[in-house]
Formats: sequence, C-alpha cells, structure tokens
Amino acid sequence: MPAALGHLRVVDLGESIAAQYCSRLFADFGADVLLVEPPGGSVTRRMGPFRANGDSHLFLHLNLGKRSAIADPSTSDGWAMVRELAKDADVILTAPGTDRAALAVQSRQAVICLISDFGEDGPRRSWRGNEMIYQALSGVMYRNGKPDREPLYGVGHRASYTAGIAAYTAVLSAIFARARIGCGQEVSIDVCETAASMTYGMASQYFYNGVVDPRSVAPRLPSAVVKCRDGWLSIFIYDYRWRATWAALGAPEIADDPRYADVEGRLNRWPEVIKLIERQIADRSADDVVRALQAAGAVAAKAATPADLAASDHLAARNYWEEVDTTAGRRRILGPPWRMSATPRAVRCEAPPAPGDRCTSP
Amino acid sequence: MTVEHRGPLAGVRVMDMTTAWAGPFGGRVLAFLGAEVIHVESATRLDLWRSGGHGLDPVRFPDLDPGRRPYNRTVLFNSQNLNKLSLTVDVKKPGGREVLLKLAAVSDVVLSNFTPGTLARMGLGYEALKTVRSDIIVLEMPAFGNSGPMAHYGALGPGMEFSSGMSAFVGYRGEGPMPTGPAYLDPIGGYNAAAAILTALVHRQATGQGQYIEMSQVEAAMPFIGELILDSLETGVPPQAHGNRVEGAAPHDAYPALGVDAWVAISVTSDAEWRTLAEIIEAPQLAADARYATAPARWKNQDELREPIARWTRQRTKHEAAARLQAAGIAAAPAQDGRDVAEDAYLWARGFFTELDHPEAGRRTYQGLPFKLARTPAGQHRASPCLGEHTQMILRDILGLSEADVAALEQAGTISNVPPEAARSTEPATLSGGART
Repeated sequence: MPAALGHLRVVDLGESIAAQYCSRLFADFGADVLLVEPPGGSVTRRMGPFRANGDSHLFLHLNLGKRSAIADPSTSDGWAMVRELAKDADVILTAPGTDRAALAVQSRQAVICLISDFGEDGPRRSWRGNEMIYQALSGVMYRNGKPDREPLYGVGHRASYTAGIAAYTAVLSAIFARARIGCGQEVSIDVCETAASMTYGMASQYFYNGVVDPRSVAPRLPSAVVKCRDGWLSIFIYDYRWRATWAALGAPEIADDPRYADVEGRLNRWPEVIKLIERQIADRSADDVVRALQAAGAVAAKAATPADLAASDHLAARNYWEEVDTTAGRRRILGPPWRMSATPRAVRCEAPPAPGDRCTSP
Repeated sequence: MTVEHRGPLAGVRVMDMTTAWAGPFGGRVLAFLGAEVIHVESATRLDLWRSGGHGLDPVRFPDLDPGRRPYNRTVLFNSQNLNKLSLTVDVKKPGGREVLLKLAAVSDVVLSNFTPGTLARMGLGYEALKTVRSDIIVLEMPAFGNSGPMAHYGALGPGMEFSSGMSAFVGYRGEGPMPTGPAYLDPIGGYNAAAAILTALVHRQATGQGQYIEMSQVEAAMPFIGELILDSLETGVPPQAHGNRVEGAAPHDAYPALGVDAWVAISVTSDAEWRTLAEIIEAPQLAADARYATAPARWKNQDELREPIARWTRQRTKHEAAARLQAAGIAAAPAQDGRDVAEDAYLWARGFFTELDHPEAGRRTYQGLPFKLARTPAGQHRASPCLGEHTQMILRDILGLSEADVAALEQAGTISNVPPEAARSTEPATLSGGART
C-alpha cells in the first residue's frame, strides 16, 4: 500500500513528548523521520513507565518507525551536523533556543516548527511545566473531581499528546500551503495554550455572562458513574429512554414512580437514583449491564482496564492490536489512531533501541 | 517576509455534517486554518449544542438570557463553530439530498460524526459522494468505529473516556474511576479528526487521490495513554485511581489556597527542589529530615507532607503561591477556573482570545486554538453562524441554483431555518460528541 506522507522527510530536534508524538504520526503515515538525540539519549528514554529491561515504555511508544542520529546542537560539530540534516528536510521540529533562522537558510521548503511548554516569549516563558501544571492552567483540572475535594489533573501526558497532534496538524497545513506560496514557513505550538483549547468554552462562557461553572462530574445532567459486581460504569439516561432503562435494569416499577417522573424531579433526587441503579446491578457483571442498557438504547460504558482492552472481542474483531519485530521477539503495539482506505497507517520498525540506531526493517 | 492572510488551507472547502462537540471541533480546526467550512444543519433536527441543553440553562447564554432564538445564542454552539458558514437542508425533504450532492461535487472534504451508517442511509455515503467528486476525502468518526460488536453502541464523551481505558487511571485514591471534566474525549476526537483530514489532503495534493477515513474516537484516544496501557499489559498490574500522585515525583498534588475553592498545584521532581520548597514554606526542618530527603522516601511518606505545605498555601492566593514557587524553579500553577482562564495574561499574550460580533449574541470574546503560522497566519475572524445564515448565499453563489430552484426548495420546506417548536429542546443536549441519530 502507498503511504500518505511518503514524500516527506522529517527531522525531530524537539526533545519533548509533544514533538515525538508529532513525529510519530509522521512516521505512522509514511514520512522518513530522523530522531536527533543528544549523546546521552533522548530525555524521554529516562521517563517511565519502564520495562523490566529498563527501556522506557514512553520512549518506545512515541518513537516507533523512526531512525535515530546522535548530535549535540550546542557543540559546533553537532550544530554543523544539524544544519546538514536540515538541507533537504521538509519538516524540522525544534525546542526553544534553537536558531531556527539558521535552519531556514538551509532549506527554503522546510516547515520549521517550534514546540514548547509556554513559548519563547510572554509572561510564562521561564515557567516549568508538566501535565498537572498544564491541566491546572487550562481550566480542565478545576472542573475535574468532586466539589468538596481537591481538583484532579487526570492521567498521563494528555496535554502533551494533544499538542503533538496540534503540531502535526499545523505542520501539515503549512506543507499544504507550500504549493500556493512556494516555500515553507515557521509554525509554533505551546502545550499550555493547547491544553486551554480543550475546554467546552469555559472562558467564552465567562465572557458571555460572567458565570464560572463549579467542579462536579456532570452538573445537572442525567449521567452517573455506578458500581456493579466487577467494575464501574459510566451511564447517561436520556429522558426518552427512562422507561426502557429501568426495564433493562430489572425494575420497571421505578419508571412509574412519580418522584422521578420528569427530568427536573429526577435530577433533584439524582443521588437516590444512583443508589437505586446500583442496587439493581450489584450482582451483575459490567459487560452484562452494558449490553442490556445498550440494547435498551441507553448510553453505558465500562471503565475498561488495559486487560479489558487486550481481551476485547470488539477490538479483536476490528484487528486493532498489532505487533512489531524487536531483537527480543515480537512486541505488542497499539493500533492506528484512524484508518485510511488508500494509505493505511504502517509501522515500519521498532523504536531505535539505542541512540543512533537505524530502522532495521524495510 | 510576505504574509498571506487567508490561512494555510485557503481554497479548501469542507462539508461539516456534525453535531455537538467532537465533530464541530474538528471542522473548527480546519476553519481556523483557513478552509471554507460549511456546517450543514437541519432546522428540524438541531445540532445538539444549539438546542441549548437540559431546559435552556441560562448559564449558556449571553447575559443569562436565552432570547427568542436560543439556538443562535448558546455559547456551547457559538464557541465551537467559529469561522464557519451555516447551510440548513433537510435531507428528507424534496431536493434536500440533491443539494448536498451538488455541494459535495464542489467540496474537498466531508466530515461527519453521526453513528455508523448514517451518511449511507442519507444516500450520502462515501460511494455516493465519490460518484459526484472522485477525489473527495470523507471522514466519519463513530465512537467505536464502523465494525465490531460495539459499533452500534451509543456513546457520549464520558463513556468514550471509560471505554478508552483512561478513566480507570483517573479518580481519588481508593475510590472508583472518573471521567475528566464533562467530556475530555471530544476535543481529543476533534483534534484527531482534523489531523487525519490534513494527512489525506497532503496525500491528495501529491497524488490527486482522495479516500475514506474511519476514525473510532475511542481508538484515536488510546495512544494518548499508550505507555500506560502497554505497561499495565506487560506487568499485569491493573490501573488504579491515584488522585494527583505521579510516580517519580513527590509531593505532587493540589493544595488549598486563600479563597473559596481555590487550589494551587505543586510538583516536586528532585531532591534539590524539595529542599527549596521546604525553605519557602518555612519548614527548614523538613529539608533536613531523612524521611523526606530522597524521592523514594518522599513517595512513601508524602501524606505527612500535605499539611505542612497546605499551612503555607492557605495563607496565599493560588496565583501568588504559584508565582512564588515558579520563581524558585518549582513547577506550580493555580487551578484556574473559567474566569481565571478568561483573564490569563499568558493566553492574552499568545493571542488566544478574539473579540467578534455576532448578530444575535452581540460583541463577545472567544477562546481560540493554538496554531501559529508565520507566513499564512491562522485565526478566527467570524463568529459562529446563525442557523441557516448562509443558506441563500451558498445555494446561489456556490451551487449556482436559479431563483426558481431556490423558491422550490423554500416552498417544500427543505431549507427552512426556523425550527419547529418541538425540535428546540426535545432531548437533553450533552457536553459530548458521539451523537445518536
């Protein structure tokens, strides 16, 4: 199968989760990606979780399908090498402090992307960031958690991954524009600003009417997280599925209870409703309850664990899971983020085992 | 340097057949980058985020007033459809499908977030669209994809986060899983959709070939915790709700600050930072205490550190506390609410906010997207459209319909922009994306 981006050469000097997820997407869709690592190896090699042999799961996940080269841009030899690499590049991903103008001179066609936490200028240029910090500043953290407890930041590095996708999108849009304007250009993405773009318009709402939404899982919506025998479910009960939901839960009489007959009364007594639901499902499995509720047209989902995902008959039917060859045998990897009919995602090889390693598969 | 202000995707036309959040967010990204994005809507079946939510909650409207046409005034819709045009077409009424096929023939991209098979049932599936535009790019983004036993499951943002594996890692220690905010998977899905479309556009530019893209929103989100999924599968250790704790950093939590429901996030990632923090919170004896001297020791005993830190944070605003710690090289931040974000000097300096006129919502400020391009700047220059605001222009100027053709469509009720009373809030609109149709 042909690749969507097989005509592009990418050089990743970004040294961040966001930059490496960006270049991972380029590699997934066929671009030739060179990961430039400092002599001690990329910073993400030292970020967990780690495998039994000490390799970073994070590094391996972010860098599938890439080649690696070692260069220290702060030395004159290293910088000369980076400038040489820039010569025929289509895309160069950089971190703050890189002399982008000097790279632009090397290649008129290159799209040069700065990916940073808070930008090279502006009031937070010297701030230190990480996932909890971005989520705190974005407004998302404040809305996440229970009203009477501390807010929760979430999990993992989701703001950085999103910034990686945003950078990939910005770079591709600039590649697209090359045909019209005849050259590449500089583009930039901040992780912190990206995180702030992921609310439903909290700030826009403040400008509309000055109201600040409080923290709660889902204020005034018929949704709940409920416990069953072997796990937890997220459910959402549309008014027009109220009767069908209680039939599926095995307590049709509750649909006739006047206290819960209309949406307003129901939401006013929502904690009671949740208890009633949990009473009905205490002895049932999550899979069983989800099937029954979905069959009744109600929205329900199990809090899947990684083991659930690995065992999922749905993902199996979709041939979701893939493997990649490594020197120690085959290793499981995640499936594609999206499926393209003409140019499907294809992982070329395992992430470079050591700095400077080349991709060994074709 | 020449600057060209139409945006990098100038000349690209997108049919945005989406509803609620994830789909409209994807179209909004393309519109921000300069594509002409036409939000195809129906007055009889409103975009879920136009229908104002459970009982027209006043907090979603300008000055708390839904007004006579709440579907044109709600901040939910108006914050996610900037730069777009609105075309109202009822595909079930005479001539409706033909109008959309005519539009597809002059479009580059069709984006849809309906349930699997909806486009095909409307006679607008990829095969049909390809016959009127051979190089069209079509993306559909059902929650679980087009195939498999869960393909037809209904899904909303929080449930998709549960299904992706994320929520099992989110929550207070010792308690159950939680979704993140109202629906974190929706903006993740929207960003992924735009990225997938750009991938196909760049490929088409090089080869002339269009294609079909299937994006399961759950599968698109799983890589965002890929390292955690793979780790758990390899070790067999199930995920746990961990509060704000992070392996390898301690203390790492939100602490109460001066004020009502005010919190400051503080993250210590080295022994040197810990000693600095101990000095700042006026507890130098803790810096010398072996129980907290090393990262593993602090990890083990982090509960004991909560109160000494909180004693210091409670006496300061979240902004003061964070600024003091950042100045000393410690990662810290106020947990900002909607007002804090609206007043954030950093975001204003980035050009994140834009003030725009809207005929029914007035002049308001809107939050933006993070894309910065030096030669072909992106941005938001037009407020979200009123329902059907551009129908006449699109039919005449883009599709070249005659006066008589347009009159016939009006006569048949196909292009009405007036929702029947019953359609305005028939079901609770949700902060979510996997819409049922």
